[in-house]
This record gives sequence, C-alpha cells and structure tokens, in this order.
Amino acid sequence: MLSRIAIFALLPVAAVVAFLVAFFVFYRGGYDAPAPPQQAFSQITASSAPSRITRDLPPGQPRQGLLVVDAQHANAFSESELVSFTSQVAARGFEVEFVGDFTPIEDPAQIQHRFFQLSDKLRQADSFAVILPQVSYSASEAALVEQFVRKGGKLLLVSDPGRPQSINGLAKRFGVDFQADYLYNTVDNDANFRRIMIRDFQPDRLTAGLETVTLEYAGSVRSSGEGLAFASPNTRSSILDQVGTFSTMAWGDSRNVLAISDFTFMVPSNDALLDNGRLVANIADYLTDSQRDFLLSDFPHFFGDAGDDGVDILLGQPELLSAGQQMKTGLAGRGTPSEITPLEDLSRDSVFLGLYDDAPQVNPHLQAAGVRVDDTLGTPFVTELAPQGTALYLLDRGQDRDMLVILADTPETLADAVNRMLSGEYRGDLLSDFLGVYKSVGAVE
Amino acid sequence: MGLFSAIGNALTNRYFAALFLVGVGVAVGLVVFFYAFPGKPKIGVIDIPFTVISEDTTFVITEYLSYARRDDSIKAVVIKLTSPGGGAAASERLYLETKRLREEKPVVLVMNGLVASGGYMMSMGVNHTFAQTSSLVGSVGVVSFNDPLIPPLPGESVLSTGPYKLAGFDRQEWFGTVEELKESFAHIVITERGDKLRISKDELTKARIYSGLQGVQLGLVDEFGGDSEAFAKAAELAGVSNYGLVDVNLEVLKEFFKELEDILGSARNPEVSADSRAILGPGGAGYDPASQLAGFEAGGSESSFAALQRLAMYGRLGIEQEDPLPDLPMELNHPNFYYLYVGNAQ
Repeated sequence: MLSRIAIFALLPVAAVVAFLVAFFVFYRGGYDAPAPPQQAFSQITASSAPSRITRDLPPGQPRQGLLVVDAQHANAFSESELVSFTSQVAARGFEVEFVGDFTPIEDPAQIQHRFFQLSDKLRQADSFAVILPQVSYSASEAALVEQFVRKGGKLLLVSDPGRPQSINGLAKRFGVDFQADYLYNTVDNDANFRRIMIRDFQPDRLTAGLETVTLEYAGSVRSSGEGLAFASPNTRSSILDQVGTFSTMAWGDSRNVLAISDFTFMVPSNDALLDNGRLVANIADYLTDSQRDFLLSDFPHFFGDAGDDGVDILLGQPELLSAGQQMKTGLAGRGTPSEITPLEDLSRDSVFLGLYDDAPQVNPHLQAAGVRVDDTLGTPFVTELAPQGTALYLLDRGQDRDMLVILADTPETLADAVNRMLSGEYRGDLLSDFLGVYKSVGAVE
Repeated sequence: MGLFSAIGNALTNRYFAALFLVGVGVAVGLVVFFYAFPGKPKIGVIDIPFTVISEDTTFVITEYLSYARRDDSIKAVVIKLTSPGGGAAASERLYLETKRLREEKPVVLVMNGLVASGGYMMSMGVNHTFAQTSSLVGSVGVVSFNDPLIPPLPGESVLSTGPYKLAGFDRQEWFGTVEELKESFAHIVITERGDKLRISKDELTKARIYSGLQGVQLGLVDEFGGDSEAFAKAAELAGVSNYGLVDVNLEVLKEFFKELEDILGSARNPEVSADSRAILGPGGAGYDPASQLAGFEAGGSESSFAALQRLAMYGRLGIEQEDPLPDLPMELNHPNFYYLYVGNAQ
C-alpha cells in the first residue's frame, strides 16, 4: 500500500527523472576547452639578421681606359643602382660611359643606328659590361661583342632572376648559360630564403679576400669556363628543388668573359653587406686590367694612350697640307687633339700622310709590316699591285708609340683615303688587323 | 460538482493519485529543463565562401564569431571556410577570435576548396579540422612588398623627425620583419598542431600548398570529411545530440537589418540636423542616408546596398577613404604584409 508520503514524494522524483531524461536526450556531457598552447612569441627573432660589416676595400691600381656599359637594350637597371660599381671603376682611373639611354628601340632605322653606336663605342672600349638587357642582342651586335672579346676586351655579363632580361642569346656565344631559376636556402641564409650566402670561392684574383658574399636573388649559371663562386651545399634551385652545387659566378669560354647571376649585390646598400663591396672592387680590378688590342679598324682609338698630349701629324711633303688639315679636323671631332708638325718626335703617337714617293721616310714601319713600295705595291696579303689609284693604310703599334701611315699615289687619292679613314669606309679596305689598301675607281687591276 | 468533484473523487484513489502526481512531476521536470535549456541545443554554422581576408571581411567574420559566442543556445560551431588568406594582421586577428570562441565552445572547421596561408592560420584556432582529399591547404608563409632596392628620397619640402619616420624601417629591417612574421606563423602552427604535426618546420615554412590528402597525412588537418562529419564532431565535442542548426550568417544579417532600421529611422526624421547626418554618413555633410535607403528600397543597386551595409556595420570608421588627408602632398602606403596564397605570380 502506498503511504500518503510516498505518493507525494513521487512528484519531485518524477520531476527530477523527467529533467534528467530530457538532459540525457539532448546533452550527453559537457565541453572542456582544451588548454591553450604555450606560445612564446616574445622569443621569436629573425633567424639570421643580416650583417652590415663592410671590410676595408683595397685601393685599385690606377690605369687608363674606358669601361662601356650597355644601356641600349632596355636594360633593367638604373644608373643610380650601378653607382657603387662605376665609382670603383672610376677610382681606378677608368672612364665609364653608358651607350644608349635605356629605352627600347623598335624602329629598324634606329636599330641600325644602335648597331653603329655600339660598334663605335666598342672600338674605344677596354671593357664592356652587359647588365640585364631586356632586348636580345641581334646576331650582328653579338658578333661585334665577340670581336671585341677576341681583341682582348673584358666582358662582364650580369643576369638576375628578379628582373626581366634576355641575355642568354649573347651569353651562349661565350659558353655561358644563365639558368631560368633562382637559388634558395631555407637553412643557411641572410634573413630570407632567397638571400643566399656564398662562402665557397675558387682561388682567383676575382675572389681574393672574399669570405662571405650575400646575394639577394641569385640564379645559377652554367658555363664552359670554370666556376668561381658556389652556393652552400644545402642550397636548392627553384626549378629542381634539390640540393646541388650551384655556381653564381663563372668564367666564360675565356678569362675575358665573366658571368654573374645576380645584380643586387652591387646595388647600394647591398654593396655594404659582408664582403659584397670587396667583390665589387675585385670586379672593378678585373675590368680595368684589360689587355685589349686596338687595331687599325679601331681608328682613332688606338691612340688612346696619347691622352691629352695629342697626336702629331707628319706630312711627306708640304703640298699635302690640306690632307693634314683634313686629318686634324677629323681627329678633333673624335676627341683626339693633334698638331701638324714638321719634325718627328719619336716619343709621340703620329700620323704620317704622304705619297708613295715619300715611302723611304717611313721605311722602318713598312718593313716591319712586310710592305714594299716601288714600281709595284707589295704586301704579305695580296699579289703585287700597280700603285696607280691606290692608297695604303698601315698601323704600326710600337712599344712606346703608335704610328698610322697613309700613303697614296697622288694627293687626290690621299685625300680620298683620308676621307675614307674619317668616315670609317676604310674598314672595307682592310687586309689584316694592321694593314689596308684602298683601290679607287682609277686603280689598275 | 462535475469535473472537479470527479477529480477529487479519483484522487481519493491512491493509485490514481500516484499516477497523477507522476504526470505532474514529469511536466514540472520538463518545464524546468526547457526553462534552464531553452529549445534544442544548436550548432552554429558560419559559412565563409571564397573570402580574401582583409580589414572589411575580418570585421564581418568577427561579427559571426562574436554572435556564436554570445548566443547561449549555440553549443558548438562549425565553420565552413574557403580562403587564400589575406592581410597578416587581419588573418591573425581571425585566429585569435576563433581561439577565443574555442575557449567557450567547441569549434570545428571544414576546409572547402582552398584554405591557405591566413585562412590556414585562422583554422589553427579551432578544435578540429576536416578537409576533403581534393582540398588545398597550407602555404605557411608571408608575402610582402617594399620599395625597390634604392627607394625614392623624400623631397626637401618634407620635414620628418627621424630617419625612419616616413618609411618605418630600412630594407634590411624589412627582411628581418618578414622573417619574424614567418617564424610567428610557423610557431602558431607548430604549437597548435603539437604532436599531430608530422612535418618539419623547415618543410612547413617552404609554404607549400598540399592536397587535403597530404594535409591529413602530414598532420596539417585532422580528418577527411565534409559538413556532416563536422556537425557530428562538433556535437560530440559539445556533448549534445538531437541538435538543431542555426545559420549564424543569417542571424547576424538579421541583427544588421535591425541596426539599419534604427539608423535609418533617425535618418528619415526631418528633425535630424545636417550636422547629425554628417556624423552618420561617410561622405561628409552632403551625405544623405535617407536617399540611400530610398534608392535601395526602389530596387537599388548593389553599391547602394554596400553603402548601407558599411553604414550599419562600421558606423563612420574604417570606411575606405578616398582622400583622407587632402592637405597631405604624399601618397599614403598601407603596411603590406600578407599571409596570402596568390598562386603562380605572373
């Protein structure tokens, strides 16, 4: 029998049971938030803060010469970015000239002008820097550069994967192939995986004094020449994503061609990092140590050593004064001062203008070149020529002085020959690097 | 007599009385239960379709997260996310807001399509993540932009009080800052994922994008699954069953419209002074919220709706300012650090 108390107790019991049943229908437990992770942000620092140490730069040997920097091919840099490099070159006594104005050229007539402009500059240059051209070199322009290097001119090729450029067409002619990659190192870097550290250098004048160079965005370069600077062994290439031995600086097919696959290291303020400045100085040393040969085709730049002293113009006979004045005016227009003088100064560069009858006055120079002038004109390169209607160009590059000899059969032919010299047409008359023969319309075959 | 006397007579029967009291007890228990726990337990659903994380989108997403945290009937939250990331600070704020929500309610995230960089950072604030095998996840890293190698110099007419007053830092420090942000991002992932992570920090910070399949294998994601699995997991973590779903986006939109009505109610009032309108509006004294409303009510364009939305949600702050300081003869540059996946940069 249910007691009265038990009956009334059923109400709260039923209420509690109903509550619990409802609770368990909808809720089977509670939520315990996970403990928040221990995060120590305050201990985070950049993995390797870049060093700003610049070691003392060595003074360069003072030399005379000209470094020409290509700006004809819409090159992807500004003059201000190159100031560290050009000032190092200038500090060594070299002049630095930019050829072109960085704007792209599309008009065919202007492209032809570009060729002649380059040709003229390379005749003067001791060294040539091609940095990040965005417009490819034409075959004829590349041939000019090849010719320049063959003459002993130093060529610097600089690529950079961070900037648009089209340099490989030219570079491949010198055995250099800039890879379409960038190098990175996630372990050993200069505050960013793309700022790689270079510590492995091949012993060379170019790498003298270098311990660590930092390159902000370098690619790799393959070359038929020897590598000079190599990224750390744990560096990877973006197109391979595997470690390897990657070169960032290498010789081309000769020691006259230097290829570097980064531009940023020479740009202020990156040039002040670690040994970057030293590398810039070493490159300046290299480029200002050009042993480039100047040939007859480089008129009048083979007189480069004359400097401000100028050149003497010697005449075989007084009647040739007008030809002498013509030559003097032409040289002045090309930045080479000259004087017409009756006496030969054996310490000075000279131009001799004369007729074939005056040949004995310059006989030592003719003999040295294997040239004979009498009833016929004899050279090592062509069969005997009748002298009528002809002129002879000869460059004798002596140890202490350079002598340009122009002989002709008549004053009129001599005037023609001087004109051709000044206009550059004489290059079509060249028989060798130092000798040429002009045959006028009246020449006897 | 009648019904009451019949009940009284019945209650004299003890068995019948016991049955009656049990019934009353059950009713009281259920009333108390539903008073204490109104309605069915709910799982809040926050849908974030492809969204680049910016100051604006972070504001909206934070509203969603805040609503889910405030609403007591929401016992767990499922976030459906597709995002390539975005601004670094905005992304980190979403991570912190999500983490704050996680401290109160379980949060499960479904990685739909692409959850990269800043989006992935946000996902670090949840309890559990799901991805499909074809999802794309990861990209733990930073993108930043700075001046060229040689920055432009300030002109002689610019006077500032320190070498870094204008730019804030030099190029070298910029590299350091970017690296620190990367380290910070990696630190968040490593500490949040803990032992689940089966990838080295070096590999993680290469900022690869992984498929969902790889993501699970590498411990960047907890499980394979979609919405259904996420709801089940959220319910399990919250300890609820027989739950209902609530569309948090919709609820926030309702709140927005309510706030909008409040603002426009005052805007319609002709007694609102021009000065007050200027305070209300983003466009200065000439701005007229009432005409915006009229345009919208007449089938207004998306831009008029967007203007109203900004008005309601931001007040007059944070709105894109075309010429904020007309007398300043310089262009303002925003800080530009991004936790962002941009794909193959062209």
